[in-house]
Amino acid sequence: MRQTLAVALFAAIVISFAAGQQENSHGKASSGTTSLQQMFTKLENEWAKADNGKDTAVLDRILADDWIYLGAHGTQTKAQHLADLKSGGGDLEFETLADIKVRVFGDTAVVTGTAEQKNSDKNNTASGHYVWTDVFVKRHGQWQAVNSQDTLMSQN
Amino acid sequence: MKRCVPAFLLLAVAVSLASAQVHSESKKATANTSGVEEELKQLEHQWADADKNKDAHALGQLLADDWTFLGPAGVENKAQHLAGLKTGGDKLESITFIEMKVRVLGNIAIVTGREHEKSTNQGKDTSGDYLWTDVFVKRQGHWLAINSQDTPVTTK
Repeated sequence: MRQTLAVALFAAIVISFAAGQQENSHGKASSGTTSLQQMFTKLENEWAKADNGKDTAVLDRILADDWIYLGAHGTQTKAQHLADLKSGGGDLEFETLADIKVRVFGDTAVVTGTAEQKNSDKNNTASGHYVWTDVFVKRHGQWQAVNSQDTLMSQN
Repeated sequence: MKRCVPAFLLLAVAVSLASAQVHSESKKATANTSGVEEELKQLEHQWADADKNKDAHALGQLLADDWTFLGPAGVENKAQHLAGLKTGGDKLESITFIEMKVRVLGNIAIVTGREHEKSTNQGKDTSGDYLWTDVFVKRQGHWLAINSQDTPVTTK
């Protein structure tokens, strides 16, 4: 009997753990989803502020070492992006984020949104209205971006 | 001393077995990752064919119902995209994949790439190089795209 109880308890723990790993993207907004929405909104704004202030220490924390960026000028690794930022490649006068949508799939999150940007960098990055996607992965308890892409909307 | 020899032998056999098991699992994991990569690359080719042939049924099977697309024209959901494929003015004549990279993160996969396409939209030439990211999630044994973004590559 004790063995049966132990098996049942173990099964309950496994089921509970598996349920916790399930996608949390399109169910009813639970407090967990709401707090993740708030957390990622805050993180995205922190990222925008770091871009604006060329704060590579903050970016170093947010971006995973295997992070990849895709944009109109091609692709960049984390090291290339941080070096580019330090050498005047990311002169961003302002960036306002909107329409932030968070979808969480276990330890991965897909965050999309729009951005109004005014750029004045050496790469001649266009100013205007952008759409973007950031993919985050939770590693050692910390969410880090592993992939980012932005696209200038053509109706500018 | 005699008793020590079998113990030592047992330990050696155990270590050897454990090592073989780890090696075998590592090889299996590599083979599995490689298999998943090939499967996802194959899906990307099916996707390109479906786009070219305006095959909404085939494309519909690759996209999750909560799929989101972000591109120069803004944001679209699956229903809007499939309706646009049938009635819109997009015409994809050819597509050549230049690069494709697959990163598998458990039940999530990020596929990024660069392609050259020959295309028109409402008669306007939209040919050129594009960078893209597709995020897939594995649901009931099938990989389905849940987020995609395209960016036309411009020269600096």
